[in-house]
Amino acid sequence: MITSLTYRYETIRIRKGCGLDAENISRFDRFVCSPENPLPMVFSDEECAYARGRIWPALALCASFCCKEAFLKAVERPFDLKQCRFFYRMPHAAGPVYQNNEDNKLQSVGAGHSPFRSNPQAVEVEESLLNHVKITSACAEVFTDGSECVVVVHLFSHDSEPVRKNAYACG
Amino acid sequence: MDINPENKKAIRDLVYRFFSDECDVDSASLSDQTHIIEDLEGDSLMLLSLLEQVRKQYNLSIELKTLGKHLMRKPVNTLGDVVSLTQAVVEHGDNIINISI
Repeated sequence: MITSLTYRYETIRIRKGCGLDAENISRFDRFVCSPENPLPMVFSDEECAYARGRIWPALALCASFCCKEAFLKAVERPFDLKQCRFFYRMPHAAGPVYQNNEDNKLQSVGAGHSPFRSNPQAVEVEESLLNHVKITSACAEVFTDGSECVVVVHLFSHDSEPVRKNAYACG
Repeated sequence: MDINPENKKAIRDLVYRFFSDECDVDSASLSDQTHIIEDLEGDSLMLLSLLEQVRKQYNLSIELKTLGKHLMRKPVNTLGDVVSLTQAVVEHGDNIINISI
């Protein structure tokens, strides 16, 4: 006689979309020099403060921007870019190399760094935007060779019905 | 905001000066037919920076989402397109989505 029944369910994450963007890191040097938010329509104040606290502020801000652009390409519809936020956690080995350029301004050059790729990191997306584009989560992978930053964003949704994987019966 | 011909010229000069500085080209070599991507290697970061500059200068209130919807209907390809868009943004703000340009 069966007295108990145990089911184990797994939810499946379905990849709903993918977007990619690339930027030159040094273009963000001038943005991190300013104490104010350089692009208030794009970045949240928290993203700017976070980037300035990193060992390579320009890369952190660049990755945040690329993430928003990649997300935009993935969802293929306009939205408020601040509804999507990315706080890039770079590998411990990474560090900037700065030197004065011909205009005597500090510029990150990334020299001496091997190309690196981060593990996928969560992208913070406001619930209203998640509902609007019908996804449940997003993550970003960051690739850089020290001068260029490439971000790939993946969009996911859970299956609407959980799939029963195993059933255990005992009695 | 109502803009007169003098304002329109000031906006045109602002756009030309912006791309001249950003792309390191002589503004005399720019025209309304200059292609933003093919001739100037422009991109979204440049357009956003320009928009931010205009927003601050004219104290505008406009959402990127609204602008994005407008650009989906009417993309910008040339410097002339950017000038027209910028003039429309200054004049209409968020109501640009309801305006046929």
